Amino acid sequence: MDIETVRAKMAAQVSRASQSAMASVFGWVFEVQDLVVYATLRHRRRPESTYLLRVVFDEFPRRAPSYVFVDHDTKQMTSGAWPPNVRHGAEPLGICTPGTREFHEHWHRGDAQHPWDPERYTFLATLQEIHRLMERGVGG
Amino acid sequence: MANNRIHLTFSTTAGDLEEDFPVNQPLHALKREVMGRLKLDPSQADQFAVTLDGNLLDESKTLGDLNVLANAVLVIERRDVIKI
Repeated sequence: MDIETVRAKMAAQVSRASQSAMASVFGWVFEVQDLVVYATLRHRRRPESTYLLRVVFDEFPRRAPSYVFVDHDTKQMTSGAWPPNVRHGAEPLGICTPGTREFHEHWHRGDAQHPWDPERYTFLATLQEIHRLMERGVGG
Repeated sequence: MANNRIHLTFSTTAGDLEEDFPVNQPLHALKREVMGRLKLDPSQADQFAVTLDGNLLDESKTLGDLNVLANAVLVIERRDVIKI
């Protein structure tokens, strides 16, 4: 798939998420850099807790996007960038929920119950799930 | 609050539904109706909760009982997070 098609399909996913009423409820802020989306996630009941999620859409929709938390300032992966109890314990760094590349290509590779499906595991649906994981991990 | 209805948005990962909803109908019934209209299976409704500002709402109560304000956004979200 050519890069322009990937870019267009990514843009459609980001547009759907940013236009959802959920974006304002969850307080999501998006920054797009080529095929990477940075999403700021803020705990709904503890707004002092914010995290920056990096979502890489290269090869989307053939492959699921990669989701990892990164440092707000450097945008590098650091252990301190992760909310409590969200990161999977094994390599690679990632989040073990359907819709993430790390889930479909590593820990649940070949899992017939959860095959990668871009129509089912949209950016909006995966982002909402990760947001809820973050809130549950932080508590409150 | 015209005609005992209130203007709200229900938001789901399948889409949003913004319109006037009856204040005297239990929230669980509204949830099923909204799910059906957004092509979400209402028979799965028990797996989903309704939240306002991150707080779970008592679905046995009506919008009026819950003092939900006009133009609020209610989120229909899974009760359990999916982490496998």
